[in-house]
Amino acid sequence: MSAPEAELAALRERLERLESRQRYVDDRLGIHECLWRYCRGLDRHDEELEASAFWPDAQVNYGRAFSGSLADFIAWGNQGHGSFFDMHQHHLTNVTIDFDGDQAHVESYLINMMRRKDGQLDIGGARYIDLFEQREGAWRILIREYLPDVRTTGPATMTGLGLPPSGPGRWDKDDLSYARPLKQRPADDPAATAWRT
Amino acid sequence: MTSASDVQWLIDRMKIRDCLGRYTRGLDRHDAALIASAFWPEARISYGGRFGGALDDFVAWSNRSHAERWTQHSHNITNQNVLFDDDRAGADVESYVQFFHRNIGPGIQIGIGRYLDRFERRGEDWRIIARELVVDMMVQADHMPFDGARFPMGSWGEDDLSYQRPYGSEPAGEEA
Repeated sequence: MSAPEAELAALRERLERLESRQRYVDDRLGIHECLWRYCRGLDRHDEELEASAFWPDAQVNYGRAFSGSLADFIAWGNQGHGSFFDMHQHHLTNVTIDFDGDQAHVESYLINMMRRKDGQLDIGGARYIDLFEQREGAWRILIREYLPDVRTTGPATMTGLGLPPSGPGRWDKDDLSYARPLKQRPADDPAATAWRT
Repeated sequence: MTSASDVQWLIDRMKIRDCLGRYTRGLDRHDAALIASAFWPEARISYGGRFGGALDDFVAWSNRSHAERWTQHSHNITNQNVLFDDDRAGADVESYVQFFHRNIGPGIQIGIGRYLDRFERRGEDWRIIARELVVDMMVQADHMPFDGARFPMGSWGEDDLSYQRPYGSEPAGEEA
């Protein structure tokens, strides 16, 4: 190999290494974003956002409680959450991802806190087991299994249900998180001047 | 697939997450400078009916009101939804937060909420220009008595073990 050819080969190798590193980070973050989008959709009962985390032909399995198609799952999930709880959040912590070509095996730890309509509080530790698939550069869920590992239910003394006027959250587009871009409140807005120490 | 702009997206995304990490660390250590470093100087903050105002007032109010009611607290950022403006000079960011507050009196408070932050990019730096806090739920629970005999306890200020850098230089506890 002549000197320029060797230089070119070295550059090509460097570029390939860079690209593969970036793809790794890109793919990992893409999967995280998809998981978080799902949780946001679920916690706001936003069907469109929930569906955007799955491929249209996805299958979802919640043990003996539910098994079926995406559309049925979303309707079942929102109806179930809405009839049993008046507030819930699904927080993801550990996420492990094993890539296998255009697919990825993903396990996500979930902590959910849910205020029941009977006044009790549910706190759960669970896992989503997902088969992700990449289509045209986008990562979404193709198969989902839900594993509830730990659940506690007990009486809870509610000490704060939101800081009016911005909270608590809502299950429609009036939730403050849909106000985009978020703007500074004018000085004469009561919420911009209120003080309580 | 790979381009310079994709790399910029990764960097921007990470800087926004790091900014929230800096904020919660500053908050939990009552480190005024670190809290302030998450915001632009002219930022406005609105915490429902509890607080509304400018950054300096917010930092002072935040540390004071936490110290008046709690002996320890821990704020944990989990999910984070980021929507960038088309020109990538700004972003709306919803960060889920779980917080655990140990009362001065009996019990602890467990809460879940969301920080709604308007981020602005200036040069290479991403910081918050407007913030709203939504608290979705807060409950009172029993506290399991726990003291520093077996584990080092956190503190507010530079005595906290996390400031003793490089880590590993402190003598290890007998039962660590």
